[in-house]
Amino acid sequence: MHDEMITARSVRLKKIRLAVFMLLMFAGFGAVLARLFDVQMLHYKRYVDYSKNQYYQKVVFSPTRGRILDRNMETLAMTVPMKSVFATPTNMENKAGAAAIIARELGMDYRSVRARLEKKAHFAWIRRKVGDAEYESLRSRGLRGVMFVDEDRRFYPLGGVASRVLGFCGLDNSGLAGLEYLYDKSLAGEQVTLIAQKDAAGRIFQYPEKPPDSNFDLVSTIDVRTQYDAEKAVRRVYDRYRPKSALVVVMEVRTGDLLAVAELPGMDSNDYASYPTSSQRPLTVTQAYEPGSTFKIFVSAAAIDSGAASPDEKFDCENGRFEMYGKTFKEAKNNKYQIMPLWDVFAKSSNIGMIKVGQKLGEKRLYESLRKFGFGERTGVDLPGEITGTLRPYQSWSGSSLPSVSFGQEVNTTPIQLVAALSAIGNGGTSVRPHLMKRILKDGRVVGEHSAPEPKRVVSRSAAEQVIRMMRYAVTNGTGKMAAIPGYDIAGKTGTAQKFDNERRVYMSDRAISSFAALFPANAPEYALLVVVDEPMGAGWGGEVAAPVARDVIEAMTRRNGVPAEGQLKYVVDWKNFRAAAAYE
Amino acid sequence: MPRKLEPDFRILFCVVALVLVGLVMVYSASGTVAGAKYGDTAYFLKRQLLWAGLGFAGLFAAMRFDYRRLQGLAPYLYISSVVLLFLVLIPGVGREVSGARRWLHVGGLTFQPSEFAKLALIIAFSHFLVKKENSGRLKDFVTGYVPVAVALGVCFVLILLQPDMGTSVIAALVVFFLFFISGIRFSFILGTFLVMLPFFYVAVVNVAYRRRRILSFLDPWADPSDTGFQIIQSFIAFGNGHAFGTGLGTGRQKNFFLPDAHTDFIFSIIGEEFGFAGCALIVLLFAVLVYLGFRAAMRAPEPFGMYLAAGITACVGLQAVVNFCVATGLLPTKGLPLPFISLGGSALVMWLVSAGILLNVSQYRT
Repeated sequence: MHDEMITARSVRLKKIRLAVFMLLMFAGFGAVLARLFDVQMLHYKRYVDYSKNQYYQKVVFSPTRGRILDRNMETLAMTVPMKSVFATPTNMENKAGAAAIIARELGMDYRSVRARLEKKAHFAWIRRKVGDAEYESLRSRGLRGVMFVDEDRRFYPLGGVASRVLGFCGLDNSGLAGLEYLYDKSLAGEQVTLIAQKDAAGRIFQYPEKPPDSNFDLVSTIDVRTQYDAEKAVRRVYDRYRPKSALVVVMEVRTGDLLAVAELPGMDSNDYASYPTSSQRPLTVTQAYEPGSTFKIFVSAAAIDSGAASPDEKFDCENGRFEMYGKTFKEAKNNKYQIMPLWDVFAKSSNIGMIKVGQKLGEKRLYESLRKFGFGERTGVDLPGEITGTLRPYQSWSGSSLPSVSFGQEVNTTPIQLVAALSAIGNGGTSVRPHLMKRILKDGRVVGEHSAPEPKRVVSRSAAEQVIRMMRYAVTNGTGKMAAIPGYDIAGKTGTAQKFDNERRVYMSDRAISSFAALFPANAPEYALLVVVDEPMGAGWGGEVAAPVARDVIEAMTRRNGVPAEGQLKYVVDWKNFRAAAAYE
Repeated sequence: MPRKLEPDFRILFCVVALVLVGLVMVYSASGTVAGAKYGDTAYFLKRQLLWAGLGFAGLFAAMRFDYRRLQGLAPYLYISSVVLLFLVLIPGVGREVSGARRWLHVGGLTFQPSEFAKLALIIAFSHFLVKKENSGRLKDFVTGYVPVAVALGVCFVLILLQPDMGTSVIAALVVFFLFFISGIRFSFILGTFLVMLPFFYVAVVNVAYRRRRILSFLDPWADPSDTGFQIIQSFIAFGNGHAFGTGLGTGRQKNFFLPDAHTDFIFSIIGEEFGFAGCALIVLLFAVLVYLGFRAAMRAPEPFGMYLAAGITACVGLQAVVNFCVATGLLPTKGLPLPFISLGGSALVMWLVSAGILLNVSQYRT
């Protein structure tokens, strides 16, 4: 009885203790629920935000870089898929053996391959952008730790043709020079950014599908055939006279389309790194030179336009010697001319005659007209690195500036400025901006097009036409005879500018820039052409060096275009004219 | 005299529900890992199914087996626990996985002696305490407390040596809870804890990974990429789940973000895919199970049944609470699986056998 009471009491106590413990446990469950409510209902945003970084990764797809085409859709630059070889050195066993195989298959130096494999790294390039055959033969060896990745390589199927203008791309296929650089964005196309899901190891496990590539193409104004003609002609003069540089620019006067920009020393965009950087820039926009006699075109145009002179007006050429502000001006080759009309001053390229023209025009009008032609400022052509040249404001001219500028000294122009000004003459006196991009295509549809700026009148149509007639006369009867093509009318002007020695402050007699500026066909100019040969060796005069280059290009163009006006075009070496022209300047 | 009635099928309902949730969640949480590791996303699901089948066979067997007959087995269960726990420590016999020797290999299956020991100790100490009480020595320190304390200490140390601190602490706490309800003087229990305190301190501070766990528990954001990683990933899982979850199988945290997603941190995946609602339901299921278990204990016809039911219930409840608390950052990271739900072969079998014993006890009333 007593025991039973004790037992009953102890059982009750046990149950109480049990209940206490149960309550404690429920308190634990309650605490968990409270915590869950806090994390999941009250502050969940914090964790959601934090997690986004670890779930997603942006994956950028770059489309294949677009082509650069010529005006007839010939390919100038394209992208070729290639393979690059890399190794994971930490994952390789027999490095010596692997290095030997790689060196043999890729034609590389064993030691340099070995050094790459011995790197304590998870990744080492072996060789980037290898050819198909090399890739296939190396892949078939199935080397452990040797892997391949697709990489596009920029390829210029025509080799060095127009390379300075086209520019080139770096290893990562971004444009570094020329059109490649300037139109990098258009050519690179639209990158597509997609969101990929990744796991904790950072591995993307739901790789978004690569969107279909859009093909971006840049249609340039270049005409491969004209370019080729120009390169051939400039190559000939380059090989013969060993100048520092030589270039030919051909431009359509109405549109400003640059049909050919041929420059030497050349380079090959496929292998740009093995050329000096000086050969990688387009000279046409970066070379500043004193134009010399070709400048007389624009001085004459200014004078005729303003009414200061007419082609028939006579000027005293002072028998070859003229002093002004203590400075003595002479004719080229010490020629001596007396009184002759502007026709002959121009055709025979009399410096003193042009000084007289300049004097009649006056500093202000001369300067303002030259500015209208675009000298002293960038043309805005779509090539990187264009410089302004120099045409000082007339207010800062010295007494000898007017006479010097009149025949193309004390002024620096770029070839492109000169071609642009020439085109203004050929275009009936209105300005035209040179350009290389014709249109940009996306999957064959036009998405961008060259838009010409509003043309501005530079000189009157009549003044332009009179100057063209004078240029025509210069080719038939003057210094430009070497450019003449029987049966085809060319308007042109030679130019020989002695180079100024900055140290001795004098013009050097043995170094010159020989140039020739032409508009053709002369009766209704369609094209402007400029030849500039920098320091031809042995023969310094424009007529001998530059004019035949122009003739070669024009002849090739006209022959191809079937332009010959009268009779069959034939090439005749006119030795009489050759000597006569040589004697003229 | 005790009346034999029907077992409390509400307990069975809770257990079946939890095991089913476990199967679904193990598949969901382990699919990615299993696919990456074994090339079969259902690899873990298949094993869990196999063990669950085995476990339910054990559950029904235990349910039919009169629990009072366990009293006779108690000493043998204790001795076999000690032997198995000792065996698993021997290199070559016990299988070492990531620095811990917790598994025995038997015929292609792995078996965790500490899981067996947890149940065996509950049975054994229920018996010991009844014997001590009947002999009137329960409240005596030397003849009553010291022997049971030493018996517990031996197993505690053996499990701790594996090392498996979580299981050893849970097992010890459950046995101490039995001491507590049996009427052993509270001062003995408290004294034991006070004596143990310095040892615990040394054990935690001296073991680098435990110290780091404690520190990262105090401020997980101090080093989110390393020591705080797991708990932060767990928070992210819960946070992403919000009220109703992202939906079954759509959680992202199991994709290698949350380590042990299908074992110790399966609750976080439930939180991510079923939200607060799903978590609350799981907590509620455990709470109901604990309530029914303790109710069965209180109604048990004699102290042995009471201890047995209370011990099993306390073990389930305690481990569940600790697991929840770890997943929600209320306790430092501790490798303890969630009863019935987490992946775990022999552990699941032992939980189901325990539930079978609990069901057996539940059918008797005073």
